[in-house]
Amino acid sequence: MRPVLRIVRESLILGFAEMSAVYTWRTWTFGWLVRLLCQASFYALLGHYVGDDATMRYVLVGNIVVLACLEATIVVISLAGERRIGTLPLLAITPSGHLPVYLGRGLQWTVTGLTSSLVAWCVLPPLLGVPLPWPRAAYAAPVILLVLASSYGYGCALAGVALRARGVEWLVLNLAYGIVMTFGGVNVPVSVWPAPLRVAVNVLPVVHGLQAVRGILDGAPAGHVLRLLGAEALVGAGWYAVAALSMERLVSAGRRDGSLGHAG
Amino acid sequence: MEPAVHTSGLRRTYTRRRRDTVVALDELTLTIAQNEIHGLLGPNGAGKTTLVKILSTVLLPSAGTARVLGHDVVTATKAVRSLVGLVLGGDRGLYDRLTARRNLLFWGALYRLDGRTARARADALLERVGLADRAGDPVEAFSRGMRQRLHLARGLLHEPRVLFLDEPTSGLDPVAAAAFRRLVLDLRAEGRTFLLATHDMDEAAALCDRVTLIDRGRMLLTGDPARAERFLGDRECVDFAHPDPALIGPLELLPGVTGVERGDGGTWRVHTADRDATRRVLGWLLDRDVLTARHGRPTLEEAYLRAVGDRGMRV
Amino acid sequence: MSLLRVVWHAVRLQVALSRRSPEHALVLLIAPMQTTTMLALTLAAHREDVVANAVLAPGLIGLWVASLDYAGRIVTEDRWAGRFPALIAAPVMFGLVVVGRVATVVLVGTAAFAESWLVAAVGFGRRLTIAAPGTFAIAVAATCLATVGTATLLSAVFVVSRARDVLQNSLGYPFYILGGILVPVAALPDWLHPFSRLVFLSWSADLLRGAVHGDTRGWLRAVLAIVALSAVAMAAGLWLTQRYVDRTRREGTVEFA
Repeated sequence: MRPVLRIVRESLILGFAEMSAVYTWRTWTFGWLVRLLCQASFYALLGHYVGDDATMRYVLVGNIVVLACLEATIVVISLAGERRIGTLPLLAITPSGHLPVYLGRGLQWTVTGLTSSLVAWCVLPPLLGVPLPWPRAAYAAPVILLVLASSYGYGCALAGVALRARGVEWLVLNLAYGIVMTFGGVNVPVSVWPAPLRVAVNVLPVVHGLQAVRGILDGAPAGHVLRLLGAEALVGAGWYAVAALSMERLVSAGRRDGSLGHAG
Repeated sequence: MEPAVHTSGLRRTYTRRRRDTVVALDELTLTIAQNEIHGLLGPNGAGKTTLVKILSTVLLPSAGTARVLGHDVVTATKAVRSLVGLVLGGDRGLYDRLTARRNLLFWGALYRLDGRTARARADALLERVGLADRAGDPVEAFSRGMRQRLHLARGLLHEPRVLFLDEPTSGLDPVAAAAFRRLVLDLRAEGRTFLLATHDMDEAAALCDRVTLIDRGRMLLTGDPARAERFLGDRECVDFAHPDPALIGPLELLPGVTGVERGDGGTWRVHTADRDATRRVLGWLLDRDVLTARHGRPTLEEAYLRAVGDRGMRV
Repeated sequence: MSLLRVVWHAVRLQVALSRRSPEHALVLLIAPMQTTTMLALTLAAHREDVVANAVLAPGLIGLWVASLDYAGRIVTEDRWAGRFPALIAAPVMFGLVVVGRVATVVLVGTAAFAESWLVAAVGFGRRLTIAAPGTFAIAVAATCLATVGTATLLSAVFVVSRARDVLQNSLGYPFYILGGILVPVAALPDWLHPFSRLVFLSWSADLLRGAVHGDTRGWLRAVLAIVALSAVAMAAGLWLTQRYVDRTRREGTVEFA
């Protein structure tokens, strides 16, 4: 366990060092965080415009929780950077193997994702005039953490794809996040979609966790909420399995066809 | 004693688009003794990097076997990885935003060193490669030579017995390259084995106990550096400019002159067999008022072209 | 049918352009998803009257993102400041450069509009028709013009501030709200109105929606506002760049990151 923790620690230090190339805490707060808050507000205002206060709250809650997914999936970009830097072969031949690093390289985004979501959770509802039922709303925090974890697995799995074809990381990131945002029950309930789509979205992260958050706010029975949390955890575990498999294949295929190389 | 590296009939092909196959290594059989500095010499695309990749388990061979200290690189991957260090050339492979020391600590964690050992080794290695006073600076501000030394420190973190260096001094200025070579000699004195892929014959001659010349994946010869230099033949030339081609006829007849090539815009290159012949040519040109002649050495690529072109595969 | 053919050609041209600049493809990837989100929300609330907003919004967002991208790219190309004096000296070439650049911006916006229209028609069975095509065409032309002005200003701001990534991220959603892209400015809090009216998107969005519904009252005022804002942005952008060039010359800092 100790070596894994040390890898996590070093990855976080590396992640934040790379983040500081783009952001200072001030530009992060007033640039990035404000952008996320505006994004959630934009859709909430739309909800209010087409519907009523209830619609607005539905949309706002969805858009706040999905921020955790948005940030967690940025791991796609961090991992694609490893190919550019040329560290893939060096990582592959360490005794720890490539997997802990691949799974650890975007951890800084989970930290910022949690921060953004929780700030939005506390600030936006009163600001937009649709207050949440506190203290019950506090139970959403651990659920957001779970959503963050499952979304990170989802991001890692897709990073395995993005690492294979070069230069597509931004497309993969936006597609990954956009699908969750569009079909994951963020703005409209999953039940509005045609049957096949309704079934398919069950494999996406966020979907069940968000339903659990809505359940908590509406005072649903604990059993119902726990079942949804179980489903979210299961989906997350599935994505981690896909991620491990996809990265394992990336390295084994790379050793076979030379695509792991440090020359290009 | 077990050889540090032994390959037998090693072959590697790449399949490019439209199914054409490129042979990067062809039936390569090579033995490197322990504690040897072995130069792998060849022009770009000769297969040097492919061999380094196979031996460091980054790439699988298509056929043949390769062993490092007796462990097969395909079946005993884990054992091989703990014994070898890979040092890449160039700007890649380091985390620019991290300090030199943090880079080493990052890799220390991956090599499962405990915190105390990782810190101790990182500091000792930084001291050793002469980066101790820059340990806290981000790598992005480092010169090529400093990066190269940090690469070497990274490759040494887990104290490997065999080190593979791929073009470690390419792009370094002569002073930095010389310092890097001294470092390699020091490390050899500790009992380590080096395989040094390079296209710099002078570097190989200065550093290596033995060298292997390869070209298009095939071995041309393996032996002491002097033998390789002899094989590559006249490694001296004189460049000069003169408008009158009539001068060239008598020049070609001078003893020790092996050939004259015409360059662009009235420039000429005279190939000579040895240093004496070079002196003779320079004096002869001086007598004819050619005052801008320059003594030089052809690149390894040119030498290969002449050697292999002249003699075919006869070794 | 011929309109569809034109759109198809535009999309094909854009695909060819996007091979070299994946950011454009990004806009085209996001637009259908945004349309789906907005239309689903609108229709789930039984607001057929807002369908036009939901179809037009991704196109306007596409235009805005493309102009941000246009501005950002000039900075990365690292030549804006160096080329600028020559561009001023040769007005014909300057025009060509701008037209060449903006063609991509406009194409991306148009393609995003087309995608939204297709998503609405195919995915939701809502075929949006334009009641006042003449006004709509004028509105689109004015909007494209304003995009040029905005892009010029933004590129200058990017050069001067150097914090390109941060700005490029934060100049999106706040402006979609201010610009009344989906929720009309009238539905925003009163104190935001003066700020909204400084963003050309607010005039464009109202004008485009009006043209779709056949309500063209005050169209001239809107077009004039867009053109005026565009001119101001263009002038400010050129002035800022000129000032930057002068300063770098004076201080001898030719290179910039």
